[in-house]
Amino acid sequence: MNAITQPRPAAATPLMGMVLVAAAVGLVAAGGFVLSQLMSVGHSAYNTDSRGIFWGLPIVTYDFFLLSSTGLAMLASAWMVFGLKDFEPIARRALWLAVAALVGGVAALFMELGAPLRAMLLIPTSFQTAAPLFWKVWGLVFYTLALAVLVVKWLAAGADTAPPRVPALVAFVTAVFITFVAGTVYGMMAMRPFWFGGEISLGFLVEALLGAVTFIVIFTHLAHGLDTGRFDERTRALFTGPLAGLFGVLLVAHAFFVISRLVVGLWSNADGMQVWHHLWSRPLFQAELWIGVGVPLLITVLPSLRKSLGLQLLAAVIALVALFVARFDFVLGGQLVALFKGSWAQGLLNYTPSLAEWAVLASAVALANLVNALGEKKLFLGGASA
Amino acid sequence: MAKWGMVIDLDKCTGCQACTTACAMENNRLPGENWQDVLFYHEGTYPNVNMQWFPRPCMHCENPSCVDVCPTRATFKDKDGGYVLIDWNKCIGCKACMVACPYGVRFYTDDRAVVQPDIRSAFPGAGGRQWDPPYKGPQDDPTHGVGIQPHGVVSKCTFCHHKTSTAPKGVADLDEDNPATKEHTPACVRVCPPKARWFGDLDNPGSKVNKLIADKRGVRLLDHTGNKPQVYYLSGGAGPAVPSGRATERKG
Repeated sequence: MNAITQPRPAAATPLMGMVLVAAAVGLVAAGGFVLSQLMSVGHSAYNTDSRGIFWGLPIVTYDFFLLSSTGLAMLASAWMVFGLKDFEPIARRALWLAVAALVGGVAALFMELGAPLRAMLLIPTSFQTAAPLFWKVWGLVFYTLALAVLVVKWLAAGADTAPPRVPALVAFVTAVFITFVAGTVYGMMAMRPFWFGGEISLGFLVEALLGAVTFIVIFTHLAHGLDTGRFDERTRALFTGPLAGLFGVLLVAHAFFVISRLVVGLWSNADGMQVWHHLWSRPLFQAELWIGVGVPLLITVLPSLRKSLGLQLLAAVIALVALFVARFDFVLGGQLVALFKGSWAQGLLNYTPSLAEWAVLASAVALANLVNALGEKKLFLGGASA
Repeated sequence: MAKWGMVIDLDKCTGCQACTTACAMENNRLPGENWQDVLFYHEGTYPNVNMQWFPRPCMHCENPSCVDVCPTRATFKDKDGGYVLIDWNKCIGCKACMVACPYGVRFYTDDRAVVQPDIRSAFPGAGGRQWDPPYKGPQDDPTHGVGIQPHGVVSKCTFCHHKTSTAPKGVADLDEDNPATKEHTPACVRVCPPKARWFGDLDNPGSKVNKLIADKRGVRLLDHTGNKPQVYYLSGGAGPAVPSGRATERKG
């Protein structure tokens, strides 16, 4: 092995070791709690019910992690598929994070479905082509297979190995496909104006990519022990150059998406859109807008600020939390107006996640971090040094 | 091959909930799992308050959005009778159908019970069923969503499939006043005191339901969604066909 292909030493092992241990403990505690609840009282441990809130925090968690995964696969494709050399330093890490996020998301989904094992068998074989979920699952089958091949043939084969082209292309195409279909699951709901619209898939694509950038910024810092002095030159150049620019462009697109939906929602008189007035009146939503979108936007669009790796990390953390809150508002917002429930559901519905539902989120976070930390230890995710 | 449909005269409905009770008894539903319900709406503030009621079974739509979104074909449109039914052996409890139904007629009772305390704790189920009520009917057909449902599945009104699907072939209407069809009449129709409900074959030009729809200008709920319900409402002007209540944020 010559100097050009010499892998970097595994960075920040003490910190990633702590993450590994914390994630394992968190998974046992949170996952154990959820499973004990599901086995003892079933889904009544969740605060969803038949009055109108059917999809709660577990579905929000699933959607968030799934879109993060597809976004990360798309980000990895900048090098894997399109050969953009600048993005090579993050490609391996992005791909493994895609695997970790997928595992976390699917785990959350399995804790939500009534019959998850039956779902694995029946959805792909139903050929219910009118159902977005049928296409989404087939997309997931190919996506998972492509990721598996990429892990075996690329990540596990050593840092100096080139990514295999066909699986990389399949991973990219299926990632885009899944993201679009995930948007249609909501966008096709004409009976729920809060969700309805063709632009939802486009918004999901932007949010998936934005989530991916925030993930890669945060986890690259973590892998380097939160010490930017340990960044190699190519990673530093990427973070202060193309990635910083991409971060800013995606935040601008996301802000346009949020503002356009908000303005239309506040103006519209259709039953279901009054949820926007409800959201607008909440301090948390204002914080989500001005801090969650505004602060990262300010950091990433100003050239003097976006090149600061510390500020970039701050922007990524804020944007990641805000994206999750936005996903929560989106999924729940479409259900706050109950459809034909009369006095069973007066006014807008209330929903506060139960402890078990928070534990589903904690389980997904812990599982994804556990998988990621294992990869950081074993797979040379920093790639080969130039 | 019949296409069963229901006609509900809003001018005759008194909101007595006899239909709701009969449905719950006939189909062994849990409290709050009202496959058939008479919804109440309140509008305004004292002293200018308006109360309306609105009977609402499953619409058994001709073009049901719940069927389209079901990823396992558990929810299906039965060509023989035009029912929209759920095969509990295929349902995965993803609740996509509940989200996609414009009429709020679907229930997932594994979730927190709408009516507390949860009666299932007093009558725990056996063999994977959700509960074991002290009285239950003999009908048990999980492939059509009839009987006590297992865990992890969605349930809904079946137009009393176990009764109506065995009706004599070619009959135009299922009427409780006709001895030949009395036992095949849906429970909600059979018990309605002011006879505000009729049930019959929408494909039979001679059926009473078609005559009522034509003569009294029957309308369908949320027709603009394109779901094309097989339940029609009659309203001679005394009350609106669609409740005008609009969900707003509660104050205080």
